[in-house]
Amino acid sequence: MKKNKVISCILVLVLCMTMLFSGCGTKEESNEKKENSETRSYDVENMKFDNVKIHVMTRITNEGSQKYFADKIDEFNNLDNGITVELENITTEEDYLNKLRTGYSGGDTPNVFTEYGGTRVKDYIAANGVLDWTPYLEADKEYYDSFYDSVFESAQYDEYEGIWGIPYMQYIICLFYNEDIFNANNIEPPKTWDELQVVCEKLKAAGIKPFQVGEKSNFRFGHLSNCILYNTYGVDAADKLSDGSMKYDGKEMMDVYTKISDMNKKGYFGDDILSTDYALEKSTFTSGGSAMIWGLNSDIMGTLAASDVEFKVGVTAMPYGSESFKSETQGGVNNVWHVSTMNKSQEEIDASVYWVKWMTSDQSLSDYTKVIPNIFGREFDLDIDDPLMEEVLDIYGTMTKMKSDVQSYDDRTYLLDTVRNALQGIALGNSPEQCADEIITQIKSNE
Amino acid sequence: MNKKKKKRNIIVSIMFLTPALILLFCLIIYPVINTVNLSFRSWNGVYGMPKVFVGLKNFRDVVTNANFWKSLLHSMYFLMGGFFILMPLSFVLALIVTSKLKWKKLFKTAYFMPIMLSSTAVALIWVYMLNPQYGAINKILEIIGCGSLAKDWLATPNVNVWSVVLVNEWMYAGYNMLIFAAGLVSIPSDLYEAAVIDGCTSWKKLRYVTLPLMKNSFKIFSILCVTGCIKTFDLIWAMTKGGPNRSSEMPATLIYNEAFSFRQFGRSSAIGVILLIIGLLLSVLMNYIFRDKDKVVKQ
Amino acid sequence: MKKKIVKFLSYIFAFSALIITIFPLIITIFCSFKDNEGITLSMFSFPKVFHFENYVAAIERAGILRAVFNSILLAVLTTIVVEVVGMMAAYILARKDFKILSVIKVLFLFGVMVPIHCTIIPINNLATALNAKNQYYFLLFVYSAFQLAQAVFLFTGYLQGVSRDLDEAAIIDGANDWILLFKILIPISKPIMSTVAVLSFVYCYGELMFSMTLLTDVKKFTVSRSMLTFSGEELQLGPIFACIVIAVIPIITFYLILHEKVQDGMMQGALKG
Repeated sequence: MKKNKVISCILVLVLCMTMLFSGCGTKEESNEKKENSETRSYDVENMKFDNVKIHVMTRITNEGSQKYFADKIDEFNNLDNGITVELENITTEEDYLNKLRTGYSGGDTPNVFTEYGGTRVKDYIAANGVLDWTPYLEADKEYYDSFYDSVFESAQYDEYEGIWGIPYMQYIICLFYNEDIFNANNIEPPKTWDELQVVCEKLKAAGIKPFQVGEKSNFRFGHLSNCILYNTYGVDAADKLSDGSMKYDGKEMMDVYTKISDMNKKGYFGDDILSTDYALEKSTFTSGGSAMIWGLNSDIMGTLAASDVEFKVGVTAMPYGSESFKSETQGGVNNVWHVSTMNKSQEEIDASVYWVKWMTSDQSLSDYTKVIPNIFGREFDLDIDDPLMEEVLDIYGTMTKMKSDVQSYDDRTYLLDTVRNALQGIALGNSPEQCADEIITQIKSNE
Repeated sequence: MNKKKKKRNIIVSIMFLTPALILLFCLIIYPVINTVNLSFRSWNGVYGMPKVFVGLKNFRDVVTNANFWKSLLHSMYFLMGGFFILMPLSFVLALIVTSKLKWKKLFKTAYFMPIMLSSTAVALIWVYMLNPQYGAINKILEIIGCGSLAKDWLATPNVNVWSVVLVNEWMYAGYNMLIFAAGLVSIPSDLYEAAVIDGCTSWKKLRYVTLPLMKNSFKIFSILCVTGCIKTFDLIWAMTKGGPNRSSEMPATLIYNEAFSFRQFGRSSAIGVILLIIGLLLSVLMNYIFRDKDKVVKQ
Repeated sequence: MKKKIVKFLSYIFAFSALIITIFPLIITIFCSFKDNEGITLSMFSFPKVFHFENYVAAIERAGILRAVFNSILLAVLTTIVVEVVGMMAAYILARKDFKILSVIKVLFLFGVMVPIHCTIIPINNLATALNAKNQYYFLLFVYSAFQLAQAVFLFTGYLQGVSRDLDEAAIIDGANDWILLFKILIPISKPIMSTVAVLSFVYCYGELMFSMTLLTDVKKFTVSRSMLTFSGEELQLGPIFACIVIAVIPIITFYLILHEKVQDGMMQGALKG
């Protein structure tokens, strides 16, 4: 009996070897398939699918959306259209990106995944691993035209012609505040950076925490620095920083670090912010423990929807630093559906396209709106009865230029983490100079 | 006759070793070869993209990086914690559970529990225990009148590494207790009786009878401790993610970050290779130390 | 008199260690019944209202019960593979005298040192090539391989310490290698085998990195992977603590049933050796 075990182990090894070699064979095959597909139809709605299974990977963090997605996928799988969707949702950002990267490194990716745009996807495009949607969109003009004008920028790159994804959701970073606290203390929502300081001082004097920032999630200061930079020096600063005409230790960035550092020193950001994460920050706000919070509309409103808030929430644009850039801020598309073409059959790709179009159909989007109000990539009559969301949309309407994270336009992909880590240092008590120094050192070591 | 025996020995050896070697080669040696190969190349981690040979550049980058040395220092903290806190603590616990105290079964069971929790759970519990605002530790310090000692345990550089070290000891004390207890029980009781007749005090009994006979337990402990400390990832990752401001990076978190956040797979592999070499040197050293004593005893 | 003081001190030490180990566990149980506010405001008070919905969420949204079953299955299988395969290899390494064996010994030592994150991508590629994503057998092999290196190392060390007189006596009695290993050496090696069993069981039960990479099917998720459902950007502490409690109950039950065996196993050495 024991001998059998040994023999079976050897068999497994042999199996391993053969599989390894056969694996190499199939890859070449799929490349061939791609080439003779010049004159085919891109009308996915009228295609027949026969038992196609697609794997979708998402990063949905709030409970309401999770339930919406699960229900939606059930509905889709019961349509009996020959496509079965397997949804894999990974809530933590590192794990999500890690898994996607591991998939792309081995050529075994999910069929559909979401990203927030930016340079990360560029690597995958360079390796021919992402679908260019252009022919599919040209085949369905009506669908194509239903998107906002600017949103496709998030799926386009100068070096690679094509439309590399479908912009799903848009966001804008706003300042949400506890209206009850503001009224009780006779405070008007701040419009400018200086007004914000006054508001913070008043709140602090009244014994109320202006913010309780969760800087353990290091994107908190990251987002704040983006907003300050954009509404003080304009969104073009992002491009200038990436082409080198603006420096991370230049006077503009130093101003940004100093503003954050000053607020931190005055204690406006709350207590023990490095041991507080974003989740706790939001829960402090919704339980009335802090007066203000900045964040993505979808994030904050998702949390508001999931908790019993006993006060009125107000919203205003992020306080601006310079009058001339007051209608520029951090925002844009934060969720792009990408379809992978890496070692995928044409049928799988078509099925993926079909599913993405189904998920972005009027019906699906308005179902989503019922759960959590959102701004989508597609423009259509939203049936909103949420006053807060209307205000968010108003703010969104007043903005003329928006960009995402500064570093997501930079080819130096390590910068996003570098800058966020350096900003975390400010919460530790580092000076603005030390913060700049840290970023510059990292840039030099990567040259 | 002898030849036949030798032949049989060879066949048996191959049969017995094959399963282990297959697993080892397919799942450990092959990835390591891959890593070594990558450590001389530059690759962004996307299938089909070129892996450009860059020579020793990755190693140079790693060695000149201050964070790398800091992470090694943090490993040293773990090692020191292991040998100066965990080892004596587990040993005393082992003495307790093998002594004649009442309720020792209860103690034994309780001490052993933390390891059952898995590091994810342990990390989660302790992150909340150590939270400066509502965590239990600071509250206890306040209650016993040491409020001034209260700290932001996981966000103060250096303190945070030591906090994780202590949580690590909390988690593994019970497990190592059993290793030492095994050694303690294995000492024949007539040796103790002889020691008592010779007029030994309990301290002397411990020093001259118990400790020398527990060499094997100490060896097991040392090996597990050294290998564990060098590879530590789970706890620190779950508790601080190497932060804030990269103040609690470990070599393993660097490997992870370089590869998955910075997409420098070559550099990440280079750290892996360096870590492997350090680990090998340390374990060869340890093996040498313990083997040497072995021979002395036998002679 | 002096003895009494020592005894008294040992009791004090024993009890404080007991409190330090048990206290966080009790807090975990408390927290599993609280909502976010209850946890953040007074972490270690007895829950005022029992929020059983945490457990409902853990079971329904994270599927923790299935995950516990999956994890136990994987952990038990891995432990068995590690023990059997490891003992077989260690027996050869400790008892035979071929020159090549010292090289193999170094290879296993090498295996102990390998940082897991260097291996993720090659192992993932292997899984892709074998079409073994979502397959437990592959995960079982991965876990076994990583535990095996350490196990072989520990087993070999232990067997080398066992006198060869025993083997010779058995061989004279007509025992072959199988009998010698399984009937004579394995029973003697109980202490080290228990040590390794606990270590590999606990590792597999809580492993996250590989299960994250190699599993996509919700039905096959393991405990740590399922618990991730609640760690996102929304504070859901109660369900996480509920997950921990549910995940720990089976192991503690196992342990309470088997602990005499495990611990006595670990401590047994001398009686025979």
